[in-house]
Amino acid sequence: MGWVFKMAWRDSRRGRKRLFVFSLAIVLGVAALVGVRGYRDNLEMAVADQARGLLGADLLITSRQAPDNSVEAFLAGIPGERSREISFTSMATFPEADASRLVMVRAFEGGFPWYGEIGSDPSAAAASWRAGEAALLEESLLRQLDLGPGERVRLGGVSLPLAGALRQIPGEGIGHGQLAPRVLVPMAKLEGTGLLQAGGLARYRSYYRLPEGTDADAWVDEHARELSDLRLSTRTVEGRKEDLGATFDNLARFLNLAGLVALLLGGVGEAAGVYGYVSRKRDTAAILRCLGSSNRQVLAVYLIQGAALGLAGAGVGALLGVGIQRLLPGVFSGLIPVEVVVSISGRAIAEGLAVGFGVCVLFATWPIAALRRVTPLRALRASVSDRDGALDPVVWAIAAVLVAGVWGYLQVQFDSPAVAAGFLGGLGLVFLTLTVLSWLLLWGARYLAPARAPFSWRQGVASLYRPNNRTVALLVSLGLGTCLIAALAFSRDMLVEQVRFSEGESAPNLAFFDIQDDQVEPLRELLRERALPVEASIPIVTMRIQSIRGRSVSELLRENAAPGWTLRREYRSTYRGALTGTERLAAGRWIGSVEPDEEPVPISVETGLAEDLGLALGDEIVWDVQGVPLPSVVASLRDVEWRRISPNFFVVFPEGVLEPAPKFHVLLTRTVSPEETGRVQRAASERFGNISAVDLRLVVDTVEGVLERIVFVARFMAGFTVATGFVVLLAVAATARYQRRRESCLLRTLGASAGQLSAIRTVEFLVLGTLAATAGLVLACGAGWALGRYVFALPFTPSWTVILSCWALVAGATVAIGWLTELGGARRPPLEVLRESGEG
Amino acid sequence: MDDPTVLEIQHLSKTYRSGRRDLTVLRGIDFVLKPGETCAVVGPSGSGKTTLLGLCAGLDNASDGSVLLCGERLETLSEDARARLRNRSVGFVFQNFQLVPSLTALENVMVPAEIAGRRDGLRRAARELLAAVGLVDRTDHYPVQLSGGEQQRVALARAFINRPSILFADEPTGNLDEETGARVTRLLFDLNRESGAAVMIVTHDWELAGRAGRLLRLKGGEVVEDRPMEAAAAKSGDVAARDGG
Repeated sequence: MGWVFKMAWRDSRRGRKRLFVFSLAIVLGVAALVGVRGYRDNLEMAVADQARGLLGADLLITSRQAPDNSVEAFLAGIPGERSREISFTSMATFPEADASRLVMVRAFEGGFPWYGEIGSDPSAAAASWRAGEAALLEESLLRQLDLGPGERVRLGGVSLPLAGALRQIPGEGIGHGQLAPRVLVPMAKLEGTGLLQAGGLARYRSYYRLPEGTDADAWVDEHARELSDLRLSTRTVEGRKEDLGATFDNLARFLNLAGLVALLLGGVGEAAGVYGYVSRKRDTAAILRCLGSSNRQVLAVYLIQGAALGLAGAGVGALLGVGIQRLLPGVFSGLIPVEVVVSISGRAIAEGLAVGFGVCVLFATWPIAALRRVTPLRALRASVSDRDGALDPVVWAIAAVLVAGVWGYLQVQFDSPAVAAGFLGGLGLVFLTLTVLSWLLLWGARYLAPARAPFSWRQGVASLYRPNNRTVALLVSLGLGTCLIAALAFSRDMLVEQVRFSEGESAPNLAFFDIQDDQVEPLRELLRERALPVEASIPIVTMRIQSIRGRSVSELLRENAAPGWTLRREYRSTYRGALTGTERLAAGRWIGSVEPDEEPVPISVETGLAEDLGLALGDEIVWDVQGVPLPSVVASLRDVEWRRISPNFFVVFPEGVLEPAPKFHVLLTRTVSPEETGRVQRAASERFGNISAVDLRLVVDTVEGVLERIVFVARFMAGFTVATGFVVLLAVAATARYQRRRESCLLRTLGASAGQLSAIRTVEFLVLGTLAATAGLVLACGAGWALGRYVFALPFTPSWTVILSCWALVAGATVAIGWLTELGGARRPPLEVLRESGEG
Repeated sequence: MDDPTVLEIQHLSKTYRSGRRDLTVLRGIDFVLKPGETCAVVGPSGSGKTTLLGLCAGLDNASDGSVLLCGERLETLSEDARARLRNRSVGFVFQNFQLVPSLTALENVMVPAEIAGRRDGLRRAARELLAAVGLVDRTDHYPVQLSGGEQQRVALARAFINRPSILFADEPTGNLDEETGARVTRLLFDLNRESGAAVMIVTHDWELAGRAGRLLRLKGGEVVEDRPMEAAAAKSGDVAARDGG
């Protein structure tokens, strides 16, 4: 055995650099796995350390309506210290900035938070707010409006000085302030604003610090029935931890998969590189067999090199992974509501090393196993071919181990054999499709390339299908990277396009909410003065479900007959005579109007809600319309495009019934510029303090911003796959370098100019990059179409910007890397290269 | 038959499948080689010389007949058992030298002994052999840094490191100029004399063949002449003309 190690070491001498380059193919995959796993470990530790800070209290109880006497009595009876919060959205005006914005007003009273603290800038600002004299404004809005401490915010009838910027409320990420920036005000000032009106949508929260030793979860279990009857929802630290863990686990699974894809892709590239390396070791294997070494010894020599390759790749990958782990807090900033302290995770490194080493050795063993077929007779005659046998059982066994290994890894990740098998099947399908596409493209390049093309073009293209080429492996690896990046870009475009108004320039872009009956006409007048059209005026009536098919909400909640939120929530319903552009009748008959005294009222329910509530056509629902029971019957079901930014409703009533009920309105208009939007918002806010005006352009921008963050995370991980594709290219191009140099020398000897040689190489890599980009983009278009049809339910139109930029990136980088591997070669004398041994 | 034999071939045949038809390259070969005996195998290209050498050394399987090498019947041995036998009892010299490119001259010489698990005095023995072929100052050179003649001398040293019972040489001077070829020939027979190994040389080189004790001439896959060199030498000019050598 000693000789085998010695021989492996000696034999690798002239190829160590190249072997190291092959091992780099798996480095990025391992790095991604180690980085994500390490960060996950750090997050777990952070969550455990800061658990109570995730809520700021031991228990949180939320109600969607102002607590009545019975609720208040229940809440007051809970042991421990209590703190109250009332929150709602409203318009805020900033006189110094001459601006108005929709904000989330949050009024606090009491000692919250008991764990963690309200983060502010300056840090003393939080104390001023707590003293009851000033407000804290979301940092992003404060900076955007260029406001500072002392400047003011007007909320309805109250004007408060700003104490500073709000940075952090325990347990809330910056995502909380994305759509409506938070404004913290003292509870004592809330009434003066006049914004908290009956029918308005507000949340009432009670935070508790329970007596020492009280188990919050046990308390919730014990009082489940009362909580349900009073329509109160709860949250505990343990529940928050679980939610957070589940959220990050989903994200981590996706990121791990991205790492795994990069790792497998690297494995394919490494196998291609090792195949080239081993091909040139066949003579050595034959000599060693002649000199008396056994088949096993020869295999062992190269398997040891493969194992060393795996150790090197996995080791460098693990080191890089530790570095990446340090980058991840930046990548996830704002998405994770705890402060994560990065520390090295031994478990992550061990796992990354094991997975990386295993994948590397398996992929390297694949080509190495072929050495078993080398006959010693080859030493006598170079023309002797290896032993036949298409179905090498060892190769199939390796494939089986590899598939089982990946399946096992996926099973651990998802804990679902079906999902693991689905992903594995999908991955296999992608590899197979790319391979077939690559063959087709290669066939096209070979047989469809014009025979009269210039010499350098013909030579460059011919290089792609010369013997021992690794073109298919390269096309698959680069193609997969291109496919991932393009598919992500397509998905993002589809989603962003969906939230934009499909009607384009003519669509409403400013919405007024919370308009009281008597404010409708004055607001219309205000818009008329400014020559702005009223695109739609929608009445909204708030109501709650009282019973379904004769069973009360309390009973249904106890029976867990439907998700709690569907039974507890306050419904904001409208009435109208026709369907809108974002709705489609799915079942039943649309009834647009009824007589005022008709009962039960035929209503239309959104299909998703009907499914959650278990409703069918003809089912009876009794509504509590602000104290008045209103029987209704499900007459139709509607599909609603929720992604379109337009007023959509779960329940629509016919005209003729709800008109006398207390209601408010939504009014839509269209302005020609953001400046005009600002002016109208301010005018409306000054005249009608309670009316909120939402700039829908800003909403689209915000949604785009959120999507961008998610796409950034996805792109960051997909970047590993793309980078791996290029490392594979580098490794494989380095393998083929010797053969390429010999050809170049031969051509130079025969009189080819340096320009011609450069042109040949450029054409070779350009065609390779183009074919890889084409294969990847074809697959990405297929994936985009499938995502659009089956996941997003959206029409798919490939973006030429994405296609052209991906093509330019892949083709350009391929040519650049191709040239990189050729550096220095052109300056060597032809004779020196021609005398050089082909091995090593 | 009381004399020990190193190599005993009986009715040896080799047939390849070529497309749809069988191609017989060796047909019913019989011969015996004794310890220390030297035998040159000559014949025109395609007569089956290299195939015969490959079969005798256990590098390939015969279609028919048997090979008894150093007391072991090759057709009964597994691939690995034949490899062990080669390592223990056989030395090789090839036309294109077949040194391992990634090993130095000294390491190339040591390889067969290392495969056998020998350690003690190995480096010294390899150095002595390299000294014997005049390459003691080239021990750390890689094959690519050596001339063709030097590479073949390293191969000779390697062939004798395990003190083989028999040396198979396939056109050992085929890639060398006349002067270098003569030096390699001289060394080969010197080492043979010192070690007492039998030698089977496949060659077109009549000067090399002339130094062997026996001549085996193949034609069309059959032995057409098997006689001591003294007898063959008289006809050498005639044969050389016929073989194109």
